Amino acid sequence: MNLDEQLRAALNLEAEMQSTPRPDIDGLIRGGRARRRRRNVARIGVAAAAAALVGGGAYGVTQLDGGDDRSQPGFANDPTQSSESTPSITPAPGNQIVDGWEIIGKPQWIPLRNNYHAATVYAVNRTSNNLSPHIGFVLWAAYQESDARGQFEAPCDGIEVSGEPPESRRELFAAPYRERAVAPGEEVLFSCVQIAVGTQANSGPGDVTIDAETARFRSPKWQP
Amino acid sequence: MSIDQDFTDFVGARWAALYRLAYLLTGSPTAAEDLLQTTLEKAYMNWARIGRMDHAEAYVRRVLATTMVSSRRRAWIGEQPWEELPEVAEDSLELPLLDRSLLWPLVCALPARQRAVIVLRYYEDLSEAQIADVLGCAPGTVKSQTSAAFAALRRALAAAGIGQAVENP
Repeated sequence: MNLDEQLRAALNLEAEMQSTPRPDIDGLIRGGRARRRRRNVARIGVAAAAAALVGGGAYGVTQLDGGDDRSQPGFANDPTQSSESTPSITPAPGNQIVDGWEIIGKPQWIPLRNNYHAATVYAVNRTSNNLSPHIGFVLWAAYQESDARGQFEAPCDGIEVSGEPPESRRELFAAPYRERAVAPGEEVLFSCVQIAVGTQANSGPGDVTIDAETARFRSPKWQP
Repeated sequence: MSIDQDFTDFVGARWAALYRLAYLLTGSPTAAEDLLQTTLEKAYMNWARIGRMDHAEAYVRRVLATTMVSSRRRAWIGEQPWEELPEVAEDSLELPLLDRSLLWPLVCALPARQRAVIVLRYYEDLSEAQIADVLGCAPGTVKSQTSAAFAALRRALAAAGIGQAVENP
């Protein structure tokens, strides 16, 4: 008998000799659901991280370069005007795309809860280490319907985070959801955008809800 | 039929066979349970799609094998390499046929990927091309892994003084 046959016999015998435990099917289903939930959260996290990265950098750079824009009326324009009059690759006032990211397409306005509206644009980071470009979305602007100029109410109730990513991002994403997006109490250097996408198990595209709030860094360095 | 019910039926019907494969791949009852649990949790995540497949069990077996190989790749620190293979019985020299208690520890001592190739080839009766597909590697890799596994087994058998008892395949 050669080694082939010996192996076949040994493996089959070993398998047959092994007593089989009973399956915990409920545990398997619970574990599978938890695994699916973690996968969905991870996917949302990637999108939110991209949004925070692009939105934060954009707002911060604009604050450095064009702080005067904030004093002009119409800081964030009417949604219809904004989406039509703003070229697809030019950020709205108060926004700028960071290096390595490129906006693709026109802003898409989306209704949020409590009469908030926001626009998102898709952005692509072609320098990502991933094999495929890393695509995220950016909160273009958020404002309350009653204030067509887009000025946020004061004071800011967004979470203030400090430090370098990823700690600051984790802190930002761990913040509880807030119903209101309001303006900061003081000028800021950097800003991050927190976006939460809510889904339910087995939901379809129409069941997805998007909530958003701005959360801003304060910086003593900023001088108007 | 609901997804949960379909999945429950599948697990109830195929658990024993999948467990035996997991045991041969891992060489340990507890590791086999862990591996099978992880595999079936992964399968449940996509059961709406997998359950509709013509060969759902083949797909699950593939997930089982790839999960084992990839988990061993990550958890290599959990294994301590030894220069010498496990001790074998003294009286093996006299046996005309190898006892499973001799050969099985040697199979268990093989590196994870080599063990997977041997189990898929001689327990699952898969061809080299099928094994390559399951493990996500080239057929040439399967050949080289098989060859390396056989060489290791022959060395171990020769070291135990029973090298003459087996012939080349």
